[in-house]
Amino acid sequence: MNRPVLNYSPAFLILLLWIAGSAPNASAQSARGEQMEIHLHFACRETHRNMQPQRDNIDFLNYLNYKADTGCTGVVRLGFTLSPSEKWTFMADLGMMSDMRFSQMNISASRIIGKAGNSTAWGLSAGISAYPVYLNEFNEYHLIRDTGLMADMNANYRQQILYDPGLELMPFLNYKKSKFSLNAGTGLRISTFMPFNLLIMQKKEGGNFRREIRYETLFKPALSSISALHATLMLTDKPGLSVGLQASAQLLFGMRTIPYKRSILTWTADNRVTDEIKPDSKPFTVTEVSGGIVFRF
Amino acid sequence: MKIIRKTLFILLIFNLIRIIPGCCDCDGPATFFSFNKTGITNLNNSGSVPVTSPSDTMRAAAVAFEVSLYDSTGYWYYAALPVKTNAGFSRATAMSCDCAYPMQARVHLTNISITTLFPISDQVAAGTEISGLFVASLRGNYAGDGVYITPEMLCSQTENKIYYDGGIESFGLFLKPEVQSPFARFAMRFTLSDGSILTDTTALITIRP
Repeated sequence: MNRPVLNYSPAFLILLLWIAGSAPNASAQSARGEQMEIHLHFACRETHRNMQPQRDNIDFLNYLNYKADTGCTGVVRLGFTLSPSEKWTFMADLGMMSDMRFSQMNISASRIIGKAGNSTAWGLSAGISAYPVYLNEFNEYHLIRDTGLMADMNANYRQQILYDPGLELMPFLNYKKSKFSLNAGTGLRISTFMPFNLLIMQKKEGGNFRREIRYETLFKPALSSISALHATLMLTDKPGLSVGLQASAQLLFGMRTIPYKRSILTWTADNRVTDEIKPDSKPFTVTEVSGGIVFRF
Repeated sequence: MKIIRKTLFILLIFNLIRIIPGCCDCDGPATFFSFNKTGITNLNNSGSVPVTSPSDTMRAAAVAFEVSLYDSTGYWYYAALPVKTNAGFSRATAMSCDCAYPMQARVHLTNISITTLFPISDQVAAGTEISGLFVASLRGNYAGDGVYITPEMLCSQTENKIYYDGGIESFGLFLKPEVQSPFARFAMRFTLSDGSILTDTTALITIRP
């Protein structure tokens, strides 16, 4: 099956190459030595898209965190930052949710490009990131609509984990004064929900009639805006090891949808009707606030 | 230290020797058999999965039967006898070998013909050949399969089929339209690849709405 691939603009690729190409010289640009950080954050993430009216075709994003107890998903994030010089920072961050396995990640490279005052500088950050969201009880669409049938023969709790990997590019401003530093940036993210397949098997109660509905979601790259704020306050500033507090906030905003191919098999597999369906793109936000500690050495 | 290494090495060799004959050889040749008998039982398909039913009453939209084709000579007894291949002594094995015995039918199904002995509806009169109104499902797939297969597909799946531990071809036949008369009964004809034909008739079914 042919699927559309992600197409990045040549300007974006040139920019990434330029950032990567400058790396070997980075350590020579500053007198400050190599610096490493390990951070541990406790984050609250909320994924939101307004519920759309149910029509003839299922809109999977209507079941985003559907019937979840709270709007806020707890995430424990553990990250490592390497700054070979004052200009360069490389960061890798893994996130763990209540399932106690690392399911989200963020890898980025940042470069200070110029000064905008005594304590202020600006730069550019590029990275990749992925995070999971949950589609819960999407079979309710069929349970409500397909009356007269056992609308979903699968009696298990239906949940689909949906990953949204993407590439980010973000100009940022950096303010640093004494033990306090603040990073604020806004940029673009191109991402796509990873495709998944779902099967709904149906049977008429008191009858032989059987039907199967197969969903195959499709790649749909989408552009989102990304804004981030990151503050660090070092409590100690010893030469070997210092400890500090960190707080972060991030907002993703985009018009998102999950297009899919639907095949309805009635009685037998050769009696099949296939349609390609694209629900309307609607505002989709991911908000995350986090706080934690950082060890610098 | 050298003594420990040597001891471990010797133990390893002994273990390897023990493991190799410890595996059972289950790849025996297939035993051939024929289909010369049929059996039809009623299925209750009003729930989520069909189950065999002693009752001769069925729901109008859930008329279903399980058909079995088998060999009446009791070949499975001979197939299950241990094969003696070693003269003088038999090979030691770590466990009793619970092998499944492969069997293969000399013939396979080529056609299923079903004739209704009672009218199904105003359009389908008694005596009509209605195999096109039936769909099928292989036994064992009742719960897992979302949809049925056509009788033609069922026939093609019996070709070169290997049966384990029991050479019985068993499948379900499900009537698609609702039966509108109070009784139903069907005559079935199974054509095999050697040209032979097996026939059977279902029980008289009382239809309830």
